[in-house]
Amino acid sequence: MKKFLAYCQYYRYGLGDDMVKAAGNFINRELSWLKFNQRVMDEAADRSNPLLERLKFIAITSSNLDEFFMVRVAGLKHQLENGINHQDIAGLSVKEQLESISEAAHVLVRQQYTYYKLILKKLEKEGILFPKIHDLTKKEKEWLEAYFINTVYPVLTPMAVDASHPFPFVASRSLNLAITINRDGQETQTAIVQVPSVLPRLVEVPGTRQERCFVFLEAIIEEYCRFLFVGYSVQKVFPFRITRNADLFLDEHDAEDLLAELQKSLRRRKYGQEVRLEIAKTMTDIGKQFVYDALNLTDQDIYEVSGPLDLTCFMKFYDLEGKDELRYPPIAPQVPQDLLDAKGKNLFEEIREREILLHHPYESFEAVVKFVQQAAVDPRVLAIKQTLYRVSGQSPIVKALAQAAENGKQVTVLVELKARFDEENNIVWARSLEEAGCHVIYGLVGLKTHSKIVLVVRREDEGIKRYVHFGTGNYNDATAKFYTDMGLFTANDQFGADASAFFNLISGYSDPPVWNKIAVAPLGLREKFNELIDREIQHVLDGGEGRIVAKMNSLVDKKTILRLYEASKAGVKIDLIVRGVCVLRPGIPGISDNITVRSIVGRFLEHSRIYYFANGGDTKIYLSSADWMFRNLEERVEILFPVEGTAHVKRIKDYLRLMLDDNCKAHILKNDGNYRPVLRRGKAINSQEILLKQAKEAVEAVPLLVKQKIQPCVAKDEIRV
Amino acid sequence: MKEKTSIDLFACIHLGSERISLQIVEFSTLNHFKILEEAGRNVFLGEETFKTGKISFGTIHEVCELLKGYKRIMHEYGARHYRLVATTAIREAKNRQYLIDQIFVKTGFAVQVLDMPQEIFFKYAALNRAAYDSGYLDSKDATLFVDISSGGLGFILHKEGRIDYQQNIHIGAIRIKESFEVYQRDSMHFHAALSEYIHSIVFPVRRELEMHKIRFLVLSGVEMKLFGNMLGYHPELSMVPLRLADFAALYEQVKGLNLSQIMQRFSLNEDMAETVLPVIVLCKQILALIEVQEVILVANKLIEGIVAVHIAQETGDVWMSLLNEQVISFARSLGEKYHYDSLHSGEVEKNALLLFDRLTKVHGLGRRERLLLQVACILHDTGKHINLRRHYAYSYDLILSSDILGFSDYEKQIMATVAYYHSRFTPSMEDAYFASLSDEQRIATAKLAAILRLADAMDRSHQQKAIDCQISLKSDKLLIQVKSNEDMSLEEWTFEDKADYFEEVFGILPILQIRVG
Repeated sequence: MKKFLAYCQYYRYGLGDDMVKAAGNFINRELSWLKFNQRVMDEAADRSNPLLERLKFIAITSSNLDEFFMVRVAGLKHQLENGINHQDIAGLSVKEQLESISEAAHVLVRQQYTYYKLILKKLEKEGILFPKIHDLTKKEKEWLEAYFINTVYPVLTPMAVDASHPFPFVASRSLNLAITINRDGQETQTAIVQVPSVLPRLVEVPGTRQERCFVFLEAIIEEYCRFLFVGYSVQKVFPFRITRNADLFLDEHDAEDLLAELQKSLRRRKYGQEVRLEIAKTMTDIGKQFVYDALNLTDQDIYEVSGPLDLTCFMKFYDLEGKDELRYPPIAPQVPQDLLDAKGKNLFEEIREREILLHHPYESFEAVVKFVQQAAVDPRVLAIKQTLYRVSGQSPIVKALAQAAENGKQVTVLVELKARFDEENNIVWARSLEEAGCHVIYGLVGLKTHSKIVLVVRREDEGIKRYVHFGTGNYNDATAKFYTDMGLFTANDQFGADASAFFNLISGYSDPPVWNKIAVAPLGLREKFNELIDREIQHVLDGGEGRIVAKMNSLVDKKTILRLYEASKAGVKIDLIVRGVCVLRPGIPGISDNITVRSIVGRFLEHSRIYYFANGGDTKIYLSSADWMFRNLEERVEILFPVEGTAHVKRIKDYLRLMLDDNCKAHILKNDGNYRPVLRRGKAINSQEILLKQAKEAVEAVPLLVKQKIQPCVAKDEIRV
Repeated sequence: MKEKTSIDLFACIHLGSERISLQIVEFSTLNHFKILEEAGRNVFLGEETFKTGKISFGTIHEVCELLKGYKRIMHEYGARHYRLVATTAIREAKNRQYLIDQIFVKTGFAVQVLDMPQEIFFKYAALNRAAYDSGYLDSKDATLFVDISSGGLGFILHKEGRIDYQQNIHIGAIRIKESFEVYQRDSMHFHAALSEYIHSIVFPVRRELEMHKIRFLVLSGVEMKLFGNMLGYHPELSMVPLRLADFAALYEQVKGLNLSQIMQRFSLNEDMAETVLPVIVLCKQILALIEVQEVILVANKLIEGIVAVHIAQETGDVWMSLLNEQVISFARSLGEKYHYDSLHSGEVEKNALLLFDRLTKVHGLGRRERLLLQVACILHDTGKHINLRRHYAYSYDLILSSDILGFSDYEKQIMATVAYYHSRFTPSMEDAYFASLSDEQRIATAKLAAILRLADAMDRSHQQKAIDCQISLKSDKLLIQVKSNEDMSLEEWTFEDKADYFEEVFGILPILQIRVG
């Protein structure tokens, strides 16, 4: 009977196909993103967060917004300029989207500055001051003047704007000052001065006070810029900042040398079409007019702010020496629980014995770094292959790969040159890897390689053995400290064969094979997800239960959403944990009433992608580098890999449960597209803090014997026979 | 005592007409091997060759880039031993020498072009290996293997551990496709025309096959997998029984469809659809040739056969002798075809191998040359079927013009020349038969001919008089002692005559001692 009802339910709604696809069933992507940034900003208002952390959230909000304008808004504007004004999935035209974005972003920015001022006030109480220059003591002013003359002045380049000097092309996201000057009785002239980005934006003024005192660099320039214009008098100084389109127009298909083409394109990026202008509220109408005239912008692109422009500078300020009480207590890197009884054994031996699941940043990323480092020096290792998307500045992994090549190992590295905003960085170290003797592949034409995988081939007594690491996040030891990601070490042959085949595929050595365990985008990942969702539907139709829990960064892919709606209609219970953009609208009667969406924004950036399918009791859990976004499923190379060990399945299930129970940092997406904090009943559950504690406790639970402690950590296999 | 196992690596690369593939295996014995790496990319070498007779340098450049990648993969595993073989597309390209040279210059790989009988042999080896466990070879009834490759059809009739018949025909999937123009292929009558065309070519095989009771038909080739998919069979299995009714239904269905309909109906791309149609018609014609009880589809790969044979050779596996037995059994059936004196051939074979084995240190030749000698012994007198006068020359012609399963043209030249010199003449550079060989071929030929001549002399009367042959080597003398109850004067005189050449080659004087037994 239950089965029959399930069928009736399914097919009744199944008929109204158009109803499911209606625009009202979706949320606009850009507005959803702004909601996400709002949640990030709300962390700045959360009194339970330490003050400098709150300030950092302000900075993150700004830097997020910058990127949003450079990429998303720029893209929409570009469409509009090219006469494209079609509707998005939620039924908004490009024009309407731009209007709504502007409206929402203006509200966001206003609120941001309110929070900002609030935090500054609180910082004053903590002895951190941001005074105006005229409030400083004479001595402090003298110091500043000397600082200006000795340090700032030499790097300033004022550019006059007049009939013979048109408005200069100011670089995207640079802070600039428009300065009006005049000489007695003559017409007022304007000059532009870029606030040098090579100097710290916040200058600490030394003095005898107890408090610490910081002045903005642009304020110093404003105060002393008279030294630049000898014989003129300075009238007004207006700061302004322009954000430009940052998309790279790369013609990959005609590019003979992707590297050279990208470098050319990067030079162009600094001077893309302007998309946003930020000015200080204090700017006079004349000043405004002056800047407006030079730019191709409308009112909706102009943001007048009541405070300093470009708050991203507080990202660096966060690292202020001393004042540790204003930050989260630092996390001590914990040994992963699967490696607790490793006792100094070679990592390869460990992996051979059992699969190892890693959960960063709760568990240290060091294990992954070590994996590559050990491979680089292990005489039994023949080859290392790795994909790299974003790496840290002085990446120990890149260094290890270079060392491996120098040690005569066969090293293949796929460097994704097109990783946005890391392009310049990537070119530099890709070159250095090549010089060290690595075989470097610069991505694929037309696809970004986003998958995260390392393969180590080792010759052992029993024959060739392959070791693989799959991850959900980048091989970046810096971001691994605050991005939550998962990884799996395995020596399973089937994973090994898949890894080899994967590298053969992206190296162009082979056509796609039949995979043993993994699924790869864009060659079947979507189909795999479809299959998994359909199987849950089938379980319901067969009279059982269907359940999906999926955690990702963004949920944007229309086809997948429609499939989730189908599943919801059929009666599959779906809980989604989507940190950022989510265009799925939950709680639509008859369409998505079995779907909940929540977002967790906290101390760490939620980054792991976890896909759980109850499968009628035979739970299937997958981890992936892919979100449910069109670009992940169709335009990128991604890997989905199963986690199969019973203990690991349980661990991830518990983790998902914990996230679903979080009532401190979780927000629920409401049917109207807004988010509300989760109601807190009973004791507070902060999933990130709990995991942090758990990781620490796990390590403490296994005390090392003195004998173990004094055992030297030498890889046994390194001794050559 | 713990068994000593040493692990070895071997890489095999196949430059096929439709696909370039790589396999790297790790092995200790034939039963303990693991495929470490499999890679492959689809190419269109076959189309180029069949259409233009050549392969362009642009294409070869791309092939070289891929091969460099394969070389890199081999390095990654530390695999040093490899075999790179090329089949029809390169074999038949007019510019094959230049292609092979370019590949060597650019990649350092030495390409070995397999001749058709070799290619079929390796495929048969793969099948034999796969069929070994599945019982298709145990039956008393015959099994017919038909391999459909892009350039040819290979028939092998297997019965009770012997190969009774082997025939290669130069029609294959791609070759058929390229034999017709696009507009012809699109014609409504293409189907019927194709059937007639294939029928006319396959027909001569029928007469031979009719003489045998065939129980199993094993159809193999890369297209079989696709074919199995179209039939809705499980795609993962390597051997799939084909139900004749399913095939008939598929055939009827495909018959009525044009190319784009086939593509749609079976969700194939254009290349696949264009190739699969001739294969289905071919299968239909093959099924029409004979009545069989069971049909098995096998998606075998040449590369698997090469790998298996390599491992068997390296590890001295018994399976290799088993395979060689079958190769020899086929040589015998060839001998029968030409009405050879099997008793005499057998006697010569026996004595020659005895000499060969006893003289291992003297001649320095290997197992392969032993096999060449054996086949040369079996076939040395077949020329008599044509004419008793100058029969050795006809033996030469027959060997050279027969497809002998498992042997390259290069090896056939050696066997044919050895047979040529068994009788009257001895190898000499003034002689075109000998002079046309390469240096390596000449050395092997001279040594093998010297041995064959002695062995033949020992049964000059074709009456197998000698019993109990003992051979001993003392400094520069080779003493062959035989017992006989009959007069062996003819053998003695002939032996003395032939001993000169043996001494010329080895510096050892053979002496025949006959004792009354």
